Amino acid sequence: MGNKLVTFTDQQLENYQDCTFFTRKEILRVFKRFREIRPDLVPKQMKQNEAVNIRIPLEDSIEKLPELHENPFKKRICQVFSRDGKGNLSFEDFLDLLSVFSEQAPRDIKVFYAFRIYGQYRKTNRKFGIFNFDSDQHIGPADLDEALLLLTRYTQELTPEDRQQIVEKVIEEADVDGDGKLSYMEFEHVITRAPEFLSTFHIRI
Amino acid sequence: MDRKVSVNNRPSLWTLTFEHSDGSKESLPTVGLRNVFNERNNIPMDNVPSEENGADDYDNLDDNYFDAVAFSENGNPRQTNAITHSNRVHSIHRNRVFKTQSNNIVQSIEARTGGTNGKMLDTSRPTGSMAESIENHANLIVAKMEQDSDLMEDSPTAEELRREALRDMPQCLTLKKMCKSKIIEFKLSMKNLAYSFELWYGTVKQIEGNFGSGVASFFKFLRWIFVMNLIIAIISFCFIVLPQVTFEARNATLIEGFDWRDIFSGEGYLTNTFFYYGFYSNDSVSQSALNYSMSDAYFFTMVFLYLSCFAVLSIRYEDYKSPKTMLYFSLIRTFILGFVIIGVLVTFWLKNPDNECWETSLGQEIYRLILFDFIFSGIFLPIINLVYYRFCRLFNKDHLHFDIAHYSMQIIYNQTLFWVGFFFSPFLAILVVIKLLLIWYVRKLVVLKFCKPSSKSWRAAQTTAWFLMMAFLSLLLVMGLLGYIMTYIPTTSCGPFRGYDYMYEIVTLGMFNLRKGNSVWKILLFITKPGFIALVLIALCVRVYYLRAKAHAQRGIVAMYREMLMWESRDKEFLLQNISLVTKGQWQYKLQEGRELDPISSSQSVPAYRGSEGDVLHKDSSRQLFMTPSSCKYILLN
Repeated sequence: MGNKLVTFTDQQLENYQDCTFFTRKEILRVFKRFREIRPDLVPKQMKQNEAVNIRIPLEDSIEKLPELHENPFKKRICQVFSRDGKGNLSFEDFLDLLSVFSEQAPRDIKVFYAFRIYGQYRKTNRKFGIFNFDSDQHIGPADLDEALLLLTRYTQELTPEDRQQIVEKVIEEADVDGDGKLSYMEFEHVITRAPEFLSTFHIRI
Repeated sequence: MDRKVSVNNRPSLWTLTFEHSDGSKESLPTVGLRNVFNERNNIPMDNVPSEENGADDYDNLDDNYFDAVAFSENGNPRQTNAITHSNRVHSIHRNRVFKTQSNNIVQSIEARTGGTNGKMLDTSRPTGSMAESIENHANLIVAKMEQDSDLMEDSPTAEELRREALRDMPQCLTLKKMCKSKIIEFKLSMKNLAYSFELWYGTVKQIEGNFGSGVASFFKFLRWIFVMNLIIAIISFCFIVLPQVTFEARNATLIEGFDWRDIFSGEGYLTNTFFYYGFYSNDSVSQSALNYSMSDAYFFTMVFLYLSCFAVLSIRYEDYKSPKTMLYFSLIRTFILGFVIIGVLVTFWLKNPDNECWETSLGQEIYRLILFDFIFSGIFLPIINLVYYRFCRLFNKDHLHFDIAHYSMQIIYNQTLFWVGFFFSPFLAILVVIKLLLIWYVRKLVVLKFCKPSSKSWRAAQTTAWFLMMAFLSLLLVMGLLGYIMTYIPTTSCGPFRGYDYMYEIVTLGMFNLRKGNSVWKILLFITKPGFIALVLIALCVRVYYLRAKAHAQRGIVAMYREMLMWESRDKEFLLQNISLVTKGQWQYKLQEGRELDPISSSQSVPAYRGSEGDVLHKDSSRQLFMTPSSCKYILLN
């Protein structure tokens, strides 16, 4: 009202509302947090293509966001949601991230992204430095091992033999078709029965 | 009973543990993983309540989930404890897909997930612009969504569905925004199309929006009737009014003087104008070489208009009723149409005096009909099916279904033609056998190569009965026709009966040698009199009615007996219960005051109870009266 600064156009806000699980107020709040990470990079008005083009580098998001800072998978999360695959988030990527991690997101979409996050190291296209996501992804023992390392923050709490054992046990429990790795279906099946999945796969902003 | 649910993992078998209020635990195995995998796509697999909230909030429970995992009977579906995390694990469209009787669930799911269904489309490519690839992906998704008509409607629910579908897609935000704009574009174009094709589209939408679908349905009906009458008006004007008015061949004299009152009465000046029947001449109006027969035009136009109205209305009626009615109506219509064609043909031939050997001509006509029917439905239609099949494959549209009704009717039509023509052309039998053989192989090819099984089930028993009935009916009619031909139509100078006056005479004269005046002949003549036959028919009807009434009455008696049986069993149960009470010694009954008891029990001091003989009282506590078997029996028999 009056000469208040309007960040987004009405059309933009409506689009974001329709495509994410947020209300208008929440979207504006998300923008505020986004801007706080790098006020020098992010302008106050995003009426044109700034929401897509301006990216915050990975290191900044990881350091400056307390919600992500303590998360052992922070780097992976940012990489999954960023469009360039390297973890540099634009505002839309950031909004997408928080929308998937919000309370209102249904289980299915969370499971999908959880699979992406855990299975990321499966196929790295080192030549191009970006990750190809195909529908035939699997979570293999290498991914689980990486996940364990991240969880223990690369300390030596778990010896390699322990890790090996855990990985084996997980695969044994969840693998149904016996190929030694978890497909999306198997992963989904396991996760759906975990009662704390919804509560842990949640970031409140 | 309070239940607390927890999930524990055991190797290869998931169990769910219930904890009862008294602390005991009960564990139930779930269905094996593989079964669950198989049913995965059709059962929303959500809703395991979170443990930390005490598993009390059973929000959004899905019964099918519980069926699949073999729960024991559930607790209350909804508790009012607030929870910190929303259990909104169902998206609207999942529920809707499950609840609708959608014929193609897979297609619906595909549409609602935009064909992505858990996949994330390649958002980054080493070469090519990212914007282009996003546009392509958006096109793919929207193409999938367009295939579901529920999703693309104009209603608020459809809008919500679309929003849900967009939100639940695991794609990046930019892609979703693009999909949304494309959907809006699509709907706008569809709306413009609708505006251009449908009369008064805007008004009807406005009325529907403001007053609801009831009022709107009246306006739609009105519009439909208007269009139908408009078409009738145009056709009748072009074929009847215009020729007559243009060629002023009037029969009656013009009544002078036009009074304004004539408009209201319709008489006066208007009597002999093109308004009314009398104006139309029965000659042919001619112009140069063309002859236009007014009487023919009048008759056939009228008949055609009435019949087409009938057909259109019955189609609309069917669409409104159930698909079963639709089927029966279309079968009846096809049947009537076929029969009218044949009837018209036969009448034409019978009334045609010019032809010397009309039987041969009729046979030829039938032969031509059968042949062309084969060419059309046995050769032409399969080619069209082939083309349609290729087209469907190319554009990924709906597949061809084997139209059982249509093909069956075609066979019945063919058979009727055969029965009509066989009498006049014996060779037709061999021809029809060859034709049916070819039809068999052609249909087999069509169904195996081009068709997909229909999702609706076909009520084989009832419809087979219908087809048989129709075939039977047509045979009856044909036989009636032939009987008529045999008895009333004089023979011509060709064919195997050319000696006789009528065809039936071969039996009477040739075989039985009956002459006029013979007693048997007199009896036969009497029997074939219409009065006699009518009497016989009436007698049969009366008998049928009697039998029907008897059957109805007997049904009533059967019902009554069933009820009596039921009461008998209840009585038996009641008596058995009381016997058991008696034997347990818990039976108590009241006696009249002063009535003497059995000698055995009289030694005991027994209070006398007021009451009538045979009163029974159940008493759980210790008995107060001594009872002997004989006195019990007495009471029971009473």
